Amino acid sequence: MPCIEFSDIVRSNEHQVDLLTEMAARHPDPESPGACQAFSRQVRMVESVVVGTYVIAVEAARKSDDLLQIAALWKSTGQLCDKALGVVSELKDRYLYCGTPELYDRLLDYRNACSSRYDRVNEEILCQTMPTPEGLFPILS
Amino acid sequence: MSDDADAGGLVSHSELKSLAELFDAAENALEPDSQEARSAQVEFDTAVEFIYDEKITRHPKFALRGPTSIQSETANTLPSVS
Repeated sequence: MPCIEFSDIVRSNEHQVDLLTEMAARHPDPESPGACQAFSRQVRMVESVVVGTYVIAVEAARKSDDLLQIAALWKSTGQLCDKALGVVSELKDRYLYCGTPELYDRLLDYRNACSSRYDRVNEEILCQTMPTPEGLFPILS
Repeated sequence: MSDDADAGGLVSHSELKSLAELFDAAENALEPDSQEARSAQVEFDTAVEFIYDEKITRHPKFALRGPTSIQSETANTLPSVS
């Protein structure tokens, strides 16, 4: 069975963001027939891949004991959000009625969630370098 | 017998288990801005503050530790207690 890495998933999903840029180039006028419909379809696709990547990152983070690996998951998911935000921020005013403002807000929420998780994991990594005082926490078998 | 009977920590095993469950619900929510995730985060923060104020600051041995270290250590113990 072929094995894919999380980075493969992110790279594949980044392609959907690139397609949004291509869609905008193909339909420069959102008022032209079919433009908004086609653009909206790609907007939904970008939202879907960002949400899907986030869900996979959550599941992978839950299964991993390696904090550095978890930090890398949130970093690359956040980078996917950043890439999508960069594209959508340039298009949201032109394609105002094609789902872009809503996508922009949702991307911001996901980017912030990735960022706060990344910061917290790094805090946990730092905390692991400090000894836990004896008697503070119960002994776990 | 209580599950805290042989735990031996100022923070009990049941408190740690409860914190781990709240942490999981907040941090690992599939929808990060869902009402459930937000509620779990608020409950977690409240529980950490309560433990810190009521137990840790009153104990001379642990008074210098901040709530942040409890949160981090809860995250680190998550696989052991959930």
